[in-house]
Amino acid sequence: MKRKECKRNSKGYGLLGEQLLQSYRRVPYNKHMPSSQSFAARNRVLLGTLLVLLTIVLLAGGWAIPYKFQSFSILYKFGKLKLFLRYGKVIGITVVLLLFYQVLLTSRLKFMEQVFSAGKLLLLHRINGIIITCLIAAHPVLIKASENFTPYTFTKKYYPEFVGIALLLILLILSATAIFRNFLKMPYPRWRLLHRLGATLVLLIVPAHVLWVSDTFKSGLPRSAALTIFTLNFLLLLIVWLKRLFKM
Amino acid sequence: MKRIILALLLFVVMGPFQAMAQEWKLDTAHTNFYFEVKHTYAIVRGQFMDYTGEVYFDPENPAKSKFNFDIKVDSVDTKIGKRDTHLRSPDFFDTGKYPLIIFRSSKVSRGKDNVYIVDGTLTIKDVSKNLSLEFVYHGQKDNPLKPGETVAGLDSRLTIDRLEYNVGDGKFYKMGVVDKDVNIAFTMELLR
Repeated sequence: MKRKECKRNSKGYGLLGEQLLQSYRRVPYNKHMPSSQSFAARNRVLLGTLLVLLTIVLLAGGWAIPYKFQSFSILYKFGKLKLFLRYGKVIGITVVLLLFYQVLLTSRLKFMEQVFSAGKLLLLHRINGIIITCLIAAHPVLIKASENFTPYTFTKKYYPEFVGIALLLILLILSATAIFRNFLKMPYPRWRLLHRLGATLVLLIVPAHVLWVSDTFKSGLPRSAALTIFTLNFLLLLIVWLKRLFKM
Repeated sequence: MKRIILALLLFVVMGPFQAMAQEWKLDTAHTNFYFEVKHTYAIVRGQFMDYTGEVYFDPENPAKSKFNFDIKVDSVDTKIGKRDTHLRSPDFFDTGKYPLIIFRSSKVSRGKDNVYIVDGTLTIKDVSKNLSLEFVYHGQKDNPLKPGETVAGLDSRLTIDRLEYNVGDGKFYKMGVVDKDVNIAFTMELLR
């Protein structure tokens, strides 16, 4: 393995060759993600800052939704139950936005690789994944706490909630297999296939949960914003899969 | 002598069964436990979808009749999942602790015309109250859909104060959001 890395290093991957080597040591599977060297450092910083700012604006906009566009259910909650519901929603919205970024980070779009480098993108993907795992575990706990942990009955009207439970399980499986892949002795190609298919499934079914689980996303600006995010997500996903299938 | 003792024993054992009116089965597709309550200005309607019942009814001999119902509160349905979850929560029915609404009749008597008075105990959550239900008996006939079967129809209406049964602590009533008076309607089709 080391020999292979040295050989690659001697061939050189441009400015970030050494940095990539570091990432190789930590994460051997990023060898397929060379970074571009065409961007000047100044542009890279500028675009990186813009992307971070855009992320902050998006997150702030998302967090404002449960305050600005209150659902009917939030109106019937008081005290700590209201807080639980509101924070549960804020966390849910954050997860959806971070999921969008997960696709962006693994999209291998030239633009992204020029700004961040492949190693950094992978690192961000991992950190983002860990944050999503933590948040996704907290989301249902807070929502159910706001309902005094009243269980759902197995009826059709609760299908968005059950879709949410399915999403939670898939995301937890994806995270667990990513973190404990070595411990689970999963061969890398099999794990990657599972990770890609699972992630695609999550992104395809997450709209069914978000758009129907709460009144907030049934109309108006929140619905339009959610539909825009999901459409972009879907297009990005399509690009990613086309790139993978046709090895572009 | 043995035969006499046996006959007496049989009479004693079979006595309660002979005393009871004929048993009817609830036609669950056409038996409904509806309720409606005023919400600010509008009326919200709902129903309980899951229940069991034991009905012995003889219009000619009402004293031998019996009406017992167990309604599963988890089956409350107002067509909005979030609202149903709220109704099942400790804010209203607290179904985790009190899964059933129970009605047990103690006496059935005939009122005017085709009206039958069913006295009994209604238990909602931890509160049991005696009340009289007025059942309108619509008659019985051969089931037009299933020859050989008899179908009978009964219905009843009543209004209860939900706060008397601890369904809610009065917070939403004081806010003028959910009224305390709940109209209940049973419609029953019985089969045998």
